[in-house]
Amino acid sequence: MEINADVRPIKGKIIELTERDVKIEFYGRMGMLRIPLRMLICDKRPEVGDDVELEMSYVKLKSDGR
Amino acid sequence: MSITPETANQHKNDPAVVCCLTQEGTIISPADLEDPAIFPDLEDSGLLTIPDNVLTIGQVLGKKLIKTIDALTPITPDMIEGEIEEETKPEVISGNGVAEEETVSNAIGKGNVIRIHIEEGKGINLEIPAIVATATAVEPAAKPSEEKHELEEERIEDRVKRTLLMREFDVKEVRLGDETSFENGILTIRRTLAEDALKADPLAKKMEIDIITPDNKNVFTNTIMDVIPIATKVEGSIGEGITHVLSGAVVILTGVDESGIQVHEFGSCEGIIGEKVRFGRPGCPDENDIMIRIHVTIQAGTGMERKGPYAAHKVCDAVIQEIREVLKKKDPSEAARVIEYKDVERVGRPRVVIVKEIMGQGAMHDNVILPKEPAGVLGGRPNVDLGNIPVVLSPNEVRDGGIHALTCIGPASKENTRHYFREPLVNLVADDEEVNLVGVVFVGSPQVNEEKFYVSERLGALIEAMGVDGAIVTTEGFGNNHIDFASHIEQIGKRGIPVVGVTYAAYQGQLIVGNKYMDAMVELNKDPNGMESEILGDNTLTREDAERALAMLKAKMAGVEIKPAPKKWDQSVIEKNQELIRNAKK
Repeated sequence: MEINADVRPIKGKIIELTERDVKIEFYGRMGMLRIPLRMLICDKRPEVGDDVELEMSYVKLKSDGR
Repeated sequence: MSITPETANQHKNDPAVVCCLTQEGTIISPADLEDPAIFPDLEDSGLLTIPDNVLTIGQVLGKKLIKTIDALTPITPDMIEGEIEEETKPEVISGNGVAEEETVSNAIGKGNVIRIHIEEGKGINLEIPAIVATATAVEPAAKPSEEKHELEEERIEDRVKRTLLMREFDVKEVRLGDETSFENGILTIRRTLAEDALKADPLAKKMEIDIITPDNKNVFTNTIMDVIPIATKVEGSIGEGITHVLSGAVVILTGVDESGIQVHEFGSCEGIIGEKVRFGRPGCPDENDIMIRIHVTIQAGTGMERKGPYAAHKVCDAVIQEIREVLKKKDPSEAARVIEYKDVERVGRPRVVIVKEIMGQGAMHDNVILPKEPAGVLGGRPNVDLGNIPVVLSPNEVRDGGIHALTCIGPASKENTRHYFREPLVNLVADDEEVNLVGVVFVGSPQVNEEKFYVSERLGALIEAMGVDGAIVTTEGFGNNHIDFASHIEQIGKRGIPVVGVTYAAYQGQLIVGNKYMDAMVELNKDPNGMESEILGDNTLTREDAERALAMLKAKMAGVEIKPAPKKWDQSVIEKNQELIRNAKK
C-alpha cells in the first residue's frame, strides 16, 4: 500500500535526564524516545519538563523479525 | 531568488537559470538569475532540468532576452540576441571533488617563506625560507628540477625538540596464574588481581579476566568500552624518555551494570567478537593480537553517570598497572623492536597543527588527558573537568599514550585509547618532511551550544597565537559534536588559515551545520550504506584517510583548487581521491 510517510514535526517533553541521555515523551502519550545527549541539540542545559521538537514519519514494518 | 554581482562572478561558469518570470527585451543582470548553489535541490525535486546547451552566467550577463520565459528556465542560445562568445562549458558539479593534478603554484606564506608546490611529475614540494632563495622565487615553475638541486644545499637543519624511545616486547602467550610475570614472551596475570583491582573504585562490583586468543574469536562479548595498549614509563614522563610496550596483546575493557544493562547502552557492540570488531583499525586489536578481556560490573544505574564508566576504567587500569610494574623491569636486550619517535621542528616548512575534537558531553563522553602512565588513568585530568578547553599535546605525547579515552558512541566511529596511541594522522604528519607539525590540540565537545562556541572561540584564539600555515580538524562520532566541529573550522578558516575537516558523516551522520570554510572535507565512512555499522572502529580514521587529509591540506595551502563535493554522500569520491594519492606515490 502506498502511504504518505513524509516526516512531520513532532513535539514532546523531557521526562528523564541523566549524564548520558534524555528520555522524551511525545505529546498525546504517543510513545517515548530515549536518545544519547549528543543527539540532543540545545542552547541551554536541558532539564526535565523542557519541550523538544523533532521531525519523524510513521514507522513502517520492514521485516517480520525472523 | 536573485543573486548579487559577487555571486554571479563566483559562478560565472555555472549554468544561467532565470529566477523569476523574465520579460522579452530584458537585459540580463545578476538580479534575474537563480543561485547555482541550489540547483541540486531543484533538480532533485524535479523543478529544474538543465539541458546540454545551457549558457553560463558569464555568457548571458548584459545580453538581451528575445522571448519571455518562465521562472527557473535555463537560458539557451535561442533565447538570447546576438552571438555568444565560446567560453568554457558550464561545469555542472561532477561530484569527483578532487584536487586537480598537474598544477604548479606558488604562494608567499607567512614568516617570509616562499612555498613552491609542484604536483606535476613526481609531486616535488619545496619549502624554503625567502631569505635563502629570493632569486628562485621569480619563476618557480620554469625549471623545477634545477631549483631542487640548489635548494637542497641551502637547507636548514631540522631541530629535534625531544625524543621518545619505545621498546616493544613481543607477547607469545597470555595465561592466568598465581603471580603476575612476563618471561620468555609468556605473560602471566595473577588470578586474584580481579578481586584486588576492585579496591580502586567502590562503584565497581565485580571483575572477570579472561584471554581471547586470535584463533578463537567466536566468543560472545559485552560492549567493548575500550581497547587499551599495555605500556609503561621506564624513564622520563609521557612524550619523552623511554617507554616499554607489549606488542601482540591488548586489553579490551567490557562492562555491564548490576542489572545487566550494557555500560555503553547506546551504540553498544555486544555480540560475537569476531563479527563485532574491525580488526586492524588503529583503535582495535590486530588480527593476531591476544585479547586480555577485563569485564567489569558496575553498580546498577551508574552507567548513565560519569562516575560509572570512569570506575570501570579505573579498576581496569589497576590490573594493567600490575603488568606495567613487571614490564618496567624488563631488560632492554629482550626488546623485539626499538622505535624512536622525535618531536621535530622542521625549520622553514609550513607550520601545521592537528586539532582533535574529543567528546565532553559527560558520562562516557570524556577522556583522561595526560595520565602518569602511557594510556593509563591515574594522574590524568578528564577534559570535562577542564571545561573542554583546548589542551595542546606534542605529537610524542599523543604517541606515548597521552590520551585515555573513555570512548563515546557509537562503536564504529569512536576512537579508543589505542587509537590515540597509534593515531595515524599524527604519525603521518609528524613524519612528513614537507610540513612542520607544531602540536596536536585536543578540544572537548560540551553539550550546550553556548559552551560549544565558548571553547571554539578559545580554539580560534589559540590557533591564531600558534601562527600556523595550515590546520586539520578531526572529530569522532557524530551528533551535536558536529556543531562545534563546524565552528572550529570556521574559527580557523576566518583567520585566513587553510583548514581541512575530517569526520565520519556519510548517510547516518551527515553534517547538520556548515559554513563557507568547510570546502575541504575528508569522509571517514567505510560502511557500504554509510551507516553506523555497530562494528568497533569500522568508520574511524585510518592511514589512508590520513593521507587524503594531508594531501588535501597541502593542496589547499598551495592554492590548488578543491572541487566542491557532491550534495549527497558518494563513496566514489573517496575512492577517486585515494587513487590520486596512490598514483602520486608511484
